[in-house]
Amino acid sequence: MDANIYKNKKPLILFLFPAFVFMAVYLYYPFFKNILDSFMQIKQLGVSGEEFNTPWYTNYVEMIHDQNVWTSLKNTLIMMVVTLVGQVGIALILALMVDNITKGAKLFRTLYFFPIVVSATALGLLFNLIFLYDKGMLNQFLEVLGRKTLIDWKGEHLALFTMMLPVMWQYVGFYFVIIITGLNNIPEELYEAASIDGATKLQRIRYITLPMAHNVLCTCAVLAVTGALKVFDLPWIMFPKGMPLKSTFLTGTYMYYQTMEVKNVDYGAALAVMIVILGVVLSKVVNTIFKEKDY
Amino acid sequence: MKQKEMTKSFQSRPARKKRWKPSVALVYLFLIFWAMTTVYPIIWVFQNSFKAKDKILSNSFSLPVGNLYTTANYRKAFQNLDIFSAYKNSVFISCVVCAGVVLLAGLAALPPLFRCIPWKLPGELSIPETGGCLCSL
Repeated sequence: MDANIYKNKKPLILFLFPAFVFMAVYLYYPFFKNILDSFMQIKQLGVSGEEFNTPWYTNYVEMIHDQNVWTSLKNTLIMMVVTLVGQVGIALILALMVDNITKGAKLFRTLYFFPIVVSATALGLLFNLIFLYDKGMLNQFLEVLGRKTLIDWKGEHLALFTMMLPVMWQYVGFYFVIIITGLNNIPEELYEAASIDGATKLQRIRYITLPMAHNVLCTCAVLAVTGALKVFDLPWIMFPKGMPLKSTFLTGTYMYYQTMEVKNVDYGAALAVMIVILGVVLSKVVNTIFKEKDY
Repeated sequence: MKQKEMTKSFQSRPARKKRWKPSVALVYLFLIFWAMTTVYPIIWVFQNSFKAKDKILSNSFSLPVGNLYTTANYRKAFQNLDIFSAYKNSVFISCVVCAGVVLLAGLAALPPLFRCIPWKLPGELSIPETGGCLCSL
C-alpha cells in the first residue's frame, strides 16, 4: 500500500530539490573545500590554494606542537563542564521549581528568556562595562559596600571565571524552555498515582520526573557540549585575542584569531576540521552516556 | 495546578484559607532572585541611557531623575550615528530570512505529508494545488 503512493518519485525530487541545492552550495561545498584547504598553502583570504603543503600534513603537526591549541582545548573543556552544570543544571532546577508552582509560570518563562533575545555582541559590551576595573558596575557596588581594594576581574586569576559567567548566564533560559516543555509532556496520572501511594514531592521528582525527562536532558546535554566548542562572539568581545597573555583562548576564538588576525588561513582550516571531529566524537560520547531509553 | 487540587481532595483537608508553606515561599524567592539577575542588567542599561557619560561612571545605580536626566544620548544615536538605517537593514534581513526559511523548509517538509492524501497520487497533483498545499501549512 505504501509502495503505491511513492510509485511516482518525480514530485518528491522536485520538492526536495531547492533545499538540497541551497544546502549543497552553502553547507556541503564549503565543508569539503575546507577539509581540502587544510592540506594546502593559502596566501590570503579569498584566494584558493594552489599547491599542497610540502609534507601534506604540516598543519596538523603544527597543531600538536602549538601551545595555544592545548590551552584552548583545556579552556573549552572547562567551558563544557560549566555549560553542563551551570546552564543545563540551573535550567533543570528552575524548570522543576516552576513546574510545581501555581501562579506566574508564564511570567517567569518570559523573564528567563530575555538574555537570549539580546544579541551576544551587545551582551559582551554590557558585561565589559559591568566588569570594568575602574568604575564598572561590580566595582562600584564593592565601593558602596566599603571595600578599599578593587577586584581586577580581567586579570589572570579571574579571567576564566569572568569569561564563562556571561556565556553561562545567557543560555539558561533556552534550556529552561526546552526542559519545561519536556516536563509538560509527562502525564498527570503518574503524579496522581504516586501521591495516592503516599510519595512526597521530592520522591515524585526523583522517581517520576527525572526518568521521564531523560530524553530531553540528553538533547540538552548534546546541545550544551557542542555549543561550548563553537561559542565565539561573547568571549571575543570581552577578551579579544585571548587577552591576558593568550591564556583565555577557546577553540572557536582561536580558530578565528588564526584565520582573521594572523591570516594563517590553512592553519585555521585545519583547526576547524579538528573542532568538527571533536564535536562529533563528543556528541557520540554524550549520547551513549545519557543513553536514550524508549518509554 | 491540577495535581495540587487532586492531592487535597484525596487527603480530605477541611476547607479553609490556604496557608503559605515555607517551602513554597522559598521556591518563589529563588525564582524571583534568578529573574532579578536576568532582568536587572537590562534595567541598568536602560536607566543609564538617560544619563551623561561621566555620570554613568561616577554614579551608576541612581535613577535618572532631576539633574541627571538627559536625552542627549538618544539624540546622538538617531542623528549622528544614523541608527534608523540600521533598523531598516535589520528588518529587511529578518523578512528575507523568514520568507526564505519558510519556503525552503516548507517545500522540503512536504513529501512525508503526501501519505495524508490517499485519494490522489502525488504525480496527479497539479502545480496550483501544490501551491495551495503550501499556503495551508
